[in-house]
Amino acid sequence: MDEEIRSDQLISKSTDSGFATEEFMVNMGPQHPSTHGVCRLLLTMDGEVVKDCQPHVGYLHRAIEKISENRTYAQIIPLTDRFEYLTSMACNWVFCLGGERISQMEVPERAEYIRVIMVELNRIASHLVWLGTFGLDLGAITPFLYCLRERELIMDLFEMTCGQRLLYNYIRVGGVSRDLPVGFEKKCKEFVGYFMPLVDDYEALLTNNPIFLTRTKNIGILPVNMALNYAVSGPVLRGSGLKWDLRKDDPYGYYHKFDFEIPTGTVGDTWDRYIVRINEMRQSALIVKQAIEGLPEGEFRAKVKPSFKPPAGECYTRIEAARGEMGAYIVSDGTAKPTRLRLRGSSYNHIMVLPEIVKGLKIADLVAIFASFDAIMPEVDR
Amino acid sequence: MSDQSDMVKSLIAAFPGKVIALELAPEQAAVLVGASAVRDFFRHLKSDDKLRFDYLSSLSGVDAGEHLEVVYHIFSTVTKAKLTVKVQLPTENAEIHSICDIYRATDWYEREIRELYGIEVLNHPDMRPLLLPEDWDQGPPMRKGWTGRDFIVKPE
Repeated sequence: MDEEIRSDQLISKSTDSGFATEEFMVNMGPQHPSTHGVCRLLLTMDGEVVKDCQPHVGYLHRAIEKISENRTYAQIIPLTDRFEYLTSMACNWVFCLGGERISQMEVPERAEYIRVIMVELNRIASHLVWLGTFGLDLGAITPFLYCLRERELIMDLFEMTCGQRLLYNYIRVGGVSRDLPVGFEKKCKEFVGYFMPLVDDYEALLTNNPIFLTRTKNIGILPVNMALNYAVSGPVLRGSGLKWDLRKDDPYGYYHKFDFEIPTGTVGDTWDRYIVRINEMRQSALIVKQAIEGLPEGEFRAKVKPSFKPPAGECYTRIEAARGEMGAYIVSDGTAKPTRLRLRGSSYNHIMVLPEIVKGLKIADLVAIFASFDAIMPEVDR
Repeated sequence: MSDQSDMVKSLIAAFPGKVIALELAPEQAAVLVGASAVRDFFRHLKSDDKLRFDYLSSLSGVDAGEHLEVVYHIFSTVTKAKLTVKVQLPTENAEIHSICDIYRATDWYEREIRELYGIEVLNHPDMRPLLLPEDWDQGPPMRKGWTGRDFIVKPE
């Protein structure tokens, strides 16, 4: 990881203004408050302007895929939690969906509704963390406090259900691990009613703020063709103008039962990516409201033997997690342990595309763009 | 779905002798492509008007025991089609052509399969290790039967 800096990269002098200037290399990370995790960006700078950006990743590589080759399906679910800790319900789901598709298992209706509620609440929680840290990166300290306050209410709901605040280990192959506790429906309805108007309050802090607009409008424009070429997904792709959401375009679970919209941006700048996520929070709250009101009675898990052995086969499943498309490729050889598990995270591609759009911008813009991508390192490094 | 199998038939017709259909799961279109035809195949997938495969979601290496596989999962945001493309490689001296100029998403994916599986990717602009340290000397770790200094196999 620690690379020798080559001398031919170091110096390029220009004397056009009468002063001798040099390009220099600045190491941003791996410990840095704005890199949202352990990402090292090797920047070649000309004053404040970024000439080149080389991401170095792998600081958080925990070999989840190698470890999974020697674990049963139930033992892998906590590992998938740590694949993307802010949306770990979605990580659990994408893996369990693979196991269910390979074994052609029917999941009960109540379990599907519970999964949707959990993943959408998790999406709101993840976007709240993003909004708070996005404001912090730009110098706005206030949103962080309010966003984390609301997120505590979601954490309470999760703690009621599965005992955990962050790494849930809740969704299982065939359903969920336990039923919703008594009092969950009431508390969840209260939360949705309380949360919906608060998104307007968050918008009042940032959306039309002149400083915010100067920092984000027309900064870091990502054209749609480049985005598709790099397999960018989620709010980043929607911010660039393409209305592509796997919940509607490659449906899974019970999303077809709910009525929601897909917010899209126009230009693909940082402001568009911000407004897409703000509107997604509203749509997720709407989905949770519909799901909790229509929650059917029934089983919370299909009958699955503790020693779950899917037949030989393979499957690539993908779902719309908070950051984008999350995929799981499972190759099963008929035993209780998969021979290959490959996890695909959206942040991998987002950091890949970052050098393309920061050239020529200032380092403060790089911070804003990185924050608007909402990339976190566990997805990249696994 | 019939349109998926029509698509697979048209791909086989376009690359005679290099592409065969695979039966991986019902309603899942999958093909096996010869390693020498990889670049032409993906160029065809991207540029053909009817196919319009513009989104390469994932590239994985798989150690299937007797051979290595490189598995591409590719999708179309225009036609909503899905395709799994497999390339089989020998375990010794595995080589594959890079397609990172056709699909930029494979840039880091190919770096990863090189360091984790030992599959050489030809004509890739930047083959530095991605996830493993620069001074890694314990061989490709994702191969079956790999053991390293700190790797403990969980007992049954």
